[in-house]
Amino acid sequence: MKKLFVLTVILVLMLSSIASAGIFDWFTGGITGMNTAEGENSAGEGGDSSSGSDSSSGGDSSSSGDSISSGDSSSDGDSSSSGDSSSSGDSSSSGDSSSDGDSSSDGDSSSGDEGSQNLEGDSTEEYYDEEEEYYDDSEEYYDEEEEYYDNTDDWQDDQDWDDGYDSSYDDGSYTGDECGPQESWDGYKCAFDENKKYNDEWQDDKHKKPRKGRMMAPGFDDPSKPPMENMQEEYGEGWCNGDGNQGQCCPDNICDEWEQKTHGCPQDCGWDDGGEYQCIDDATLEMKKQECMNNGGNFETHGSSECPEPFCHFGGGDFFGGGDCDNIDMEIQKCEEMGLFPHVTSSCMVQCKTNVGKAVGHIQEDVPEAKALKMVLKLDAMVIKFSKLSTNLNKLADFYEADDQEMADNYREAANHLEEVSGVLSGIKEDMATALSEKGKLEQKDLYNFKNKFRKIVDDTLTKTLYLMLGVEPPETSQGEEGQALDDCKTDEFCFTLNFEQCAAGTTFNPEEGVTVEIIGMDEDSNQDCLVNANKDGSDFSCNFPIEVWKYESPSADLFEDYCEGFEVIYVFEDGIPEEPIEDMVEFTDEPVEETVEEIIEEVTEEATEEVTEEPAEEVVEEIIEEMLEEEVI
Amino acid sequence: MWKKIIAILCIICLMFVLTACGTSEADIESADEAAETAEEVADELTELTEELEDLNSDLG
Repeated sequence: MKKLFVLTVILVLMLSSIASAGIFDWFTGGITGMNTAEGENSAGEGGDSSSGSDSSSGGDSSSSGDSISSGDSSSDGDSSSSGDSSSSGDSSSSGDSSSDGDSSSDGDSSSGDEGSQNLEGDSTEEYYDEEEEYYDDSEEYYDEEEEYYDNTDDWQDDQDWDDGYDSSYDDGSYTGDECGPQESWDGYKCAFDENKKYNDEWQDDKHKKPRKGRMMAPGFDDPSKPPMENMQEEYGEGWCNGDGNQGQCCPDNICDEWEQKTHGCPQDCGWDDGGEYQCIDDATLEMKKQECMNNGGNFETHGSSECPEPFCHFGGGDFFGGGDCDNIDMEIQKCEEMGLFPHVTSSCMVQCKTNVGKAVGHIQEDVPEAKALKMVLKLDAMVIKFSKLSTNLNKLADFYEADDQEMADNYREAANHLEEVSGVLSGIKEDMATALSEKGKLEQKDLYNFKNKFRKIVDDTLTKTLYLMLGVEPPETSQGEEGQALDDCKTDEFCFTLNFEQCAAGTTFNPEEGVTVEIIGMDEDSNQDCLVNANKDGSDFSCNFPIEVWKYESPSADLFEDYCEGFEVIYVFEDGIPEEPIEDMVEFTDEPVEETVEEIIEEVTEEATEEVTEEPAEEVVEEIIEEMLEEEVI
Repeated sequence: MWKKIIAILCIICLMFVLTACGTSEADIESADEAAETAEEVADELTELTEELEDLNSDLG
């Protein structure tokens, strides 16, 4: 009996030591545990090249376990494919391959199986079998390479090159016959010559190929099409047809149709193809200001004092400049008339900007039900994917925690960003689903909110996430481009909007006399929420905005109502209590309530009495009975 | 008596096993795995970014 007890104790000790070594990972993950268990064997036979790569981390059991997976990797393919094969271990260990369905994980699953066979004891034989396969594969690889040489048009052997080479390039006698119509031979290459003009020679076949680095005028990109006579304008400065086609030159201070369409001439239209603003003179700026003011907008200049950018926005009656969603189309039209690009915020404020780059422009149509449902389902899948990526980044952070704290912090922050994206997408999904259930489609005015959120996710959050993963500081955010945010916004709702979206602590804003809104800063406990204080006549009202709100939505009265206690005291919503009844109420309250009630009762009584006395009730009843009898007789 | 002790030990064993299975979350254990996970995350992020841009353009 004692023996039995001793055996059991030994069993317990064995199990606990195995458990702590991580063998049970095999149940959930697969390869990680196996690697650890088989580490020593593999280290012995993994005298292969690839196993050596991990030896630097060696010493402990897990690193020798790694070497077996490197051994696998070498068996799966040559050095070029070792990355893939080693990912098999990962995918199986993390269990990602099954849930993902990604091509990369799928492809790796087989090698994961090989790894498991390796554990079961036949490792040596199978290893060499795989190695033979490896050589087979390598032969195929070379076959493919040969095919590559056969099939590639660009390939030329030395003989072909010699045959096609014109010796006049070397001896200086070449005059540039094959250069384009606007190019001259500079002794080394065909170089751009601004003195040359387009002419009919351009239609020659040999000149129709688009040249690298230069945008072709319409018609030139397709060799089968003749050049468009009315749009003979080339990208870039300094070109003009010279045949009297006024308005088709660059620059000529005329932003013509083609320039507008292609952004081909920044000097004329005030922007360039990459979205970088080209400075305009003071007279043009003043003209834009007048246009903005005449259209009922608020004009501002953004950018530096040397290169100011016109900016016009149409504020609504909202405290925070939120516009009327029904006026969007009209205000967008005004932007376009001013030659500026419209941007519509999530609170329906229309801003006219010089840069189309990150703007949410005019949405023309509603999204029909079927398409919207598809989007909701897609969003649902994306929410899960982002959440899973966040988990993986947290694992990376855990891994780096011991050795590289900065890297760990970066990964942790990146994981938080992705979790945040997952939350925002989940919110969009719910809003879409609600709109669909109520209206059966997504209306234009709903879409601006969604598009603004998508834009911020892509341009801001995901970009920052990638920079964090790289361990590099991200470049300045879009805020820097749009204007310098100030601490004291006074009555400027646009300034407050910018600061609110950054949760810039210390920002103050006075939407109306006696009301001050101040951004306190990030909540220290959550490090996510933005605390804002609203004060009216000495009374404070605190607001707590979650990150999905302050970062992704523009401030509006509705938003503040949702997240501020007692905000209705500060701001009277027009929808709830219309102006006229309020006046009536004031008149009503001037008179004591009791007297008013008595008056109403008297009035009602008088009316009722009049109605009754006009015709006696008995007569009425008799009449009705007679009518009924007559009907029965008939 | 012995039987009881053995039974208790067996239960402890089972608890060990269950705990080990429950807590093992396939953590990253080597630099290679870390690099690979980072690469996978970056790839998926790029893919998801493209999907989001597609969704955005579908909205109008």
